[in-house]
Parts: sequence; structure tokens; C-alpha cells
Amino acid sequence: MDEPSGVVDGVLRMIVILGLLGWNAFEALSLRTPYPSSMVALWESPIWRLTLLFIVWVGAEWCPRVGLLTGMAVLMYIVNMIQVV
Amino acid sequence: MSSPKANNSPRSRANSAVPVVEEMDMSLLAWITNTHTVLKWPGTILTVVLLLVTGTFAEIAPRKSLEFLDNSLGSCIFFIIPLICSVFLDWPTGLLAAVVSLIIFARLQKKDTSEGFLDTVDNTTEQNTKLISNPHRWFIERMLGERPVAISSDRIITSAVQDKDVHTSTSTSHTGSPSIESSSSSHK
Repeated sequence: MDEPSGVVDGVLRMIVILGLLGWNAFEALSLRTPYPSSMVALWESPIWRLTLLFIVWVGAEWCPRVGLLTGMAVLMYIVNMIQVV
Repeated sequence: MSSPKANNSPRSRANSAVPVVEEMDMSLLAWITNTHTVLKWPGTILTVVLLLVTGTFAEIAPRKSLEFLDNSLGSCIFFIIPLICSVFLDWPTGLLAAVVSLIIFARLQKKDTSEGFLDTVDNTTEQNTKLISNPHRWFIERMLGERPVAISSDRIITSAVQDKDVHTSTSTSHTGSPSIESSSSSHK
């Protein structure tokens, strides 16, 4: 699954990678930008945290780049929430 | 040395029809390879489920239950487990294990929260503005997103009301109990 299986798959991967790059640059790694209030409120839900971790695994199974970027985004979010809440 | 013509005889054709049973490899390496092949899929699923549950509830786990990881050996485990998952399962599971390890590491850096002020007894009666040195916030402060840096008064000084009549009636209650009983019965 390292390489795209078709045009649609490649385009989807590119969109997700660019979105995650933007999220990591402007939200996850930026200390000045607070997380959306809905994400802060959802932090209390175990299902939300379970889903985030599951997305990391699924993303990594789909595409290594997506998995790495998702892992970084989820990790930054969870560590921020642990330190703040 | 047999001639090629001999292989075409009916006897040799009958021998070739017998299914050839390969000799089973009984070596330890073959046993490990076979076990790994058979158990890889259920092992991956079980590991992923275990990692998901661990990562989900690491935040609410009491710090005391994770303190065995707060040393050099425990820090090594944070590296070893993702490595083992990557080598024996697949690298997405190793990535998940690395994320969960970092979550647990972040949880270890945070002390257990306790609401309120520190348990210090201040006998002074003056009420001055005090800086809040305790990083733990009250629940309502966390909910409202408040981060107070100082508090103008952290106590309410009260004193008991001194009433002579009450004192007198109390003192008489010890001596003249029938009068109190009669008054209470009249209220009923």
C-alpha cells in the first residue's frame, strides 16, 4: 500500500497530506492557536480519544505519509489536552 | 547411468504418479517462522486493540500506577515496544505504539491534580491580596477557562454571636429543664 493504486487514490492521498500539513503547521505545532472549543469539549469522551488513535493506525495502513502526519497531529492534540485540562 | 529411453517405460510412469510428500522441516527456525505466520494477523489485531485502550485511558490513569515507567528502564520500554511491534508485526502498529508511548510519557510528566489551595495554615487575620502559587485550579475555574493570578481574599472570618439572653437560657436549661420542655411542647 505504499504507492497509490490509481489516480483517485493518489489525489485523495495528496489532499489528505496537504490538509494534515496545514493542520500541523498552523494548529498542532503553533502555540498561539488554540484548539476549537468543540475539540476541547470532546476530549472528555473516551470514544473520541479511541477514534483518534484508530485513525492513526488506519491512516498508516493506507499511506505511510498520512500515518506519520496523522500521528503527529493526534499526538500534539492529546499531549496539549493532557497538559492543559 | 540410465538412458533417457528407460524413463519412458511403464514402470517409471507408474512411479511418477505417486504424490511426493515433502519432508517436514522440524528446525527451530521453521517452527518460529510458521508460528509467526499463523499468529501475525490475530497478534496484530490484539496488539492494536490493546494499544487503543491503553492510549485512550492513559490520561485518566492515576499517576501512581504508571510510576514504574518513570525511570531509565521504563524509558527504554517506550522505545522497545514500538520497535518490537514494527519488527514482528507491521510498521503502522509500531507507529501506533510509538504514539501511545509518547502519550504515556506525557501523562507521566503531569502530576495528579488536586483541587483547591495548598494545605497551609495561616494564622494571620489580615486579608491581603495573595499570588496564587498553586498551579492546580478549581473545577469551576477550569470549566470557565479562568486563570487567576491573584486572589484578594481567600477566607471569610466569622465569629460566633454572643448573646447574653441565649447564654442565660442555656445556663438555666441545666438547672430548670421543665421550663424548656413546656415551651417546646407549646410550639407543637
